[in-house]
Amino acid sequence: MVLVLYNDPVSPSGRSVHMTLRALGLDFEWKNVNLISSENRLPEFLKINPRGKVPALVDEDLKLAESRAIACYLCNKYATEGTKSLYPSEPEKRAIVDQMLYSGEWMWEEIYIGYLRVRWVLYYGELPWFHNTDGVREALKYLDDRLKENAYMAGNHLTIADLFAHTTIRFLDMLDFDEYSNYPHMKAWMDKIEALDYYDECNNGKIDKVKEKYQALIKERQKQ
Amino acid sequence: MGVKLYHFGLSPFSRAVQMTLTALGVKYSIETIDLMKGEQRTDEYKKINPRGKVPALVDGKLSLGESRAIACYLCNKYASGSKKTLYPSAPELRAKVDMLLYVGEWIADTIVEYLNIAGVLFRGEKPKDEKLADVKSCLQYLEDCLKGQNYIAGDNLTIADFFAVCPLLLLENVDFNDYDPYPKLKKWINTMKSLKYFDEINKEPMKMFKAAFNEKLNLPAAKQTGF
Repeated sequence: MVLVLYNDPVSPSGRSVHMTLRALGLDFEWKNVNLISSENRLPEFLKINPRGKVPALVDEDLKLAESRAIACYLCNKYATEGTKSLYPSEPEKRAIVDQMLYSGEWMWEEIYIGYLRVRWVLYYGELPWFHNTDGVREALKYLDDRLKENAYMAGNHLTIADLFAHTTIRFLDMLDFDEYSNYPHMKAWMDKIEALDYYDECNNGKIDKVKEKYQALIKERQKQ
Repeated sequence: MGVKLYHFGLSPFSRAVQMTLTALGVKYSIETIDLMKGEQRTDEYKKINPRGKVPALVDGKLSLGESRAIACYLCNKYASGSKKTLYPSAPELRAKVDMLLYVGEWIADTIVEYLNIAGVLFRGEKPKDEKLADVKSCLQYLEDCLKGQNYIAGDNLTIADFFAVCPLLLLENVDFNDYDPYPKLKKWINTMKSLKYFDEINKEPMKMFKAAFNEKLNLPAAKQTGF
């Protein structure tokens, strides 16, 4: 049986899982769950993930949700000699990757809930919290500080923590955020991630449509 | 050197780490970081955890933040024999635990938002009753998890149970007791509370929290509740 990924490429964490699958060299079947048309609330999908969130993964009897848990599972189950460094098994090294995965949730909250507020803009007639950039900058500074001493999020090589942090930060493109260059170590790291051979396939153009809609709604509301 | 936990008892996540340490039988020392006095913001503590959050763990050269990552580390490093089931290594079983640890963040956030803890403690506000429906979705989610199994991530006790029960019991601060629609959850809470190390870690801090919370709410002093 084949791995089945339920995903919408708009989802940053969904794209991180997609990159994890590619980094591991795994074949899988993609089932699109369109978030804009609320396909994630359909009964068929709620059977896969009762919380109605993408991404979700089905591997034979296992139905798994939570993007980071999915990425860890894929590495635990399918990593080979050549790919096991994506999620190292030595407890001390793995601990740093886990720490960065969990603090990634904090960064996501600062960026998504505290600033971009995409859901509230698209569905509830709100504007982004333009003024609320302290938390965003704190998150970027935290990453930049880490990357001063390490080439990657969790040390000197690529791990799944990088694949998650990157899509979170890059989601700031939704508002054409242009302060990346204020964080030179982070910027250099972003360039490295964007040079990965599977990066474009998983990420390029994936937010264009939703970004266009989001920005148009913002413009309209600002005129009022 | 040994293992050192930077701890604050009122943090349910810090207590979940303590439960992990105790369940594993790892010897450790505690340094209290009093969040009420802002001790997490000192330069000294930021060397341990640059994000200034509690808990943090130091073990030899490793300084670690993020409570769940700490619990995973402790199991990966120190679990042996029958303790291995706390964080199983079979990928499918571990995946369930990891998933529930992440889902636990949603549950904890939802409960903290409903209780409006910072608002009540520092701004004279009340809990947000309009968020009660969200809390109930969390309870229903856990109830569904417990269908056909004794613990939330499978047949055995795991660290996911610690990280679910500690924030969940914050609901005792408002004497939430509407567990009748969730019989499996109610039974699981009792199972968790009857763990032999539950009281020594949780009882006193929970009592203190409740007293402080209720004082701010101008309610009668904390009364004993059970399930």
